[in-house]
Parts: sequence; C-alpha cells; structure tokens
Amino acid sequence: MHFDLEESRVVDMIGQKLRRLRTDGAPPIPWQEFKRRQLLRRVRAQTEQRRQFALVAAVALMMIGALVSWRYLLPVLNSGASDFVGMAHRPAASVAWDEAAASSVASERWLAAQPAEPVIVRVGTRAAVMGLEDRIAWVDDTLTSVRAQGGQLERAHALQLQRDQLINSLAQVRYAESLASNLP
Amino acid sequence: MVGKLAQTGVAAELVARACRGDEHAEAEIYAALAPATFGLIRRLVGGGAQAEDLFQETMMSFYERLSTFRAEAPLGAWLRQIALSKCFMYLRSPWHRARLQWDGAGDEWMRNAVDDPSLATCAAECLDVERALWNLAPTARAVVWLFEVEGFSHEEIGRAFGRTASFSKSQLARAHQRLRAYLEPAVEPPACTSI
Repeated sequence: MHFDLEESRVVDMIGQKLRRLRTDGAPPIPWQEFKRRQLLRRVRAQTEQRRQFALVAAVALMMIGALVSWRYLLPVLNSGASDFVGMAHRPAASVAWDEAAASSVASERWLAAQPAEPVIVRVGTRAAVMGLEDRIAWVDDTLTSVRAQGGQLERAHALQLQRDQLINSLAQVRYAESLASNLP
Repeated sequence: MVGKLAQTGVAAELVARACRGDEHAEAEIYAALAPATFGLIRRLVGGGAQAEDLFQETMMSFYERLSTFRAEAPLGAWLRQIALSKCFMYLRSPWHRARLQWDGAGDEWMRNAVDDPSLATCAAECLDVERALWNLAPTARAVVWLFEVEGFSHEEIGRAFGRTASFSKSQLARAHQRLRAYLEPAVEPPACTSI
C-alpha cells in the first residue's frame, strides 16, 4: 500500500512538472514568411491539380484515339486481309500501288482526327540561336577580309545583305523565345 | 485541465475582421496563437522540419476555415483541434512509423532540441524535464503529453491513435517509469572507507 501511494505521488509530481513546462515561445516563422510559404504551397497545389487534369485528359484522349482506330482503321485492315488472296494473283507493281493508297487513306483519316488548330509545341531554341550566331560570325569574318582586300564591292554588298537577313532571323527567334517564356 | 492554447481567446471583432480578409487582423491572430500552436505540435511530433510543415498546414487550414468558426469555445481551442487532428494523422501514418524504424528519426528531436533557443531561459529543473521527455519514444511522448497536459482520457488517446484505451494506459505507465528513472535524483553510494 505504501508503495502504491508513493507511486501515485511520483506520478502526480511528474504530471505537475510536465504542466509547468513552457508550451509557447517565439513562433517558428514570422508572419511574412508564413504568408510566403502559404502562397508557395497554393501555387504548388494548383500546379499539381493542373498536372493531374492534364494526365486525365491525356488518358481520355488516348482512349478516344484507340476507340477511333478500332472503329475506322480495323475495317480497313480487315478488308486488306480479305483481299490478300486476290492480291497474290496481281502484278507486283499493282500490289505496291494498293498498299501505298491504303496507307495514304489511313494517314488521311488520322490527320482528319487531329485537332483543327495545331497544338503548341515548345522546343529549345538554343541550337537555332547558336547556329545563327555562328553563321553571323562567319559572315562578319568574311566581310572584314573582303573589305581589307579592297575591291569586290558586289561581294561585300551580298555579304552585308546576308548578314542583315541573319540578324533579322536571330531577332525573330529571340523574340519568339521571349514570348514563349512569358506563357503560363 | 487543458493546454494553454485551448484557453487562448481572441476578440470577436478581430476574428470578424480576419474573416473579411483583413491581413492585419490575421497577423494579430497569428501573433496570439502561433507560438502555443507550434509548442503543442512540437511536443507531439518532435521538432525539426516535420513540426514546421505540420504547423504550416495547421495554420493554413485554420485561416481557410476561419469563416466557419462559431465562437462556441475560445478560438485557441478550435485551433487546437485542427492542430491535434493534423498531428494524429501524421502519427498514425504508416510512412511515419516506417521512417522511425528506418532512420531513428526519433533522435532528430533530441538533436534539434539541444539548439532550441526557447530553452535558453529554462530553469535547471525545467531543463531536466525537457531532457527526460526527449528521451521517450515519440509515441510515448505524445501519449504522456496528451494525458498529463492536454487532459485527454485514455479512451480519447486510444481513439486518436486508432488503438484501444489499454494501449494508452500501457504507453503511459512505461513513459512514467522512464520519466521517473530519469528525474529521480541518483542516490550517492556510501563511501567504501571511513574518513
């Protein structure tokens, strides 16, 4: 009995000590930082939501594509198989012509199933920019040497025109690049 | 007997302003409630990045749901419920349990707590209790804190962990044993030779 009382006293003492501990101090992060993280998490959540939506849309498109293929392309292939026996008796040139025609028809159907507006595809412009810059550098070198030699006015004029066109192309690529980077 | 957060109230006018989207009011509420909220989360899940993540989630949920607060209890008690449900979800998650087994993440709290600036002003006895608490396993620590400080019953703790009341009782008994062993002053052995 004495032991139980002692045990109970100690447990009470532990409880009191725990309750005396500080449960607050400085907040872990100041208000501004909290707001910044809140914004960041919301943006991440929205991005994740969009990604999931895109995934669902892609799966749906694939299923529709498979359905369309099954509905339209399978009869074409089946008819091709049924004609196979007859085709075996035809001349080789005629068989090749029919295959090309069937392939063309399938391609046309596939193209018809594509969206009317082209999908925006972003590709890196680094290679194009580097190619143009190299070309401009080469034209500059050539132009300098032609001018240093004197004469050859027509050649210098042609090089200058080529340089202007290249600069113009480079400007267009860079402008497109800057527009693409501002897209959401 | 409940923790400090549950007793913390905020002026109704301030809550109304925050509900209308007044950022100053939101900041004032944050200043009043955030420290105790973080304190509670830290006690239940340990310190470090995980506690900060849960704190962030808790406060975000709190502000999102603030317009549904009906003032039937102090605002702190309402926030405490949100914080506790987030902590229980974390403690119950299989991923958390596996993580504790894999990399001894329970030790992380001790490592972080050593550098905790809030302990700088702590008295020696308080520091001993803090250290004794850090030495407990994470689940035992949460159970002892919920029972002794937050005023939960064994049934409530069992439900919160998806277990029975017996689970809570056994965890608490073991936690008390360990705390007692840590906190009771060591008896000095008598000298071998007389002076």
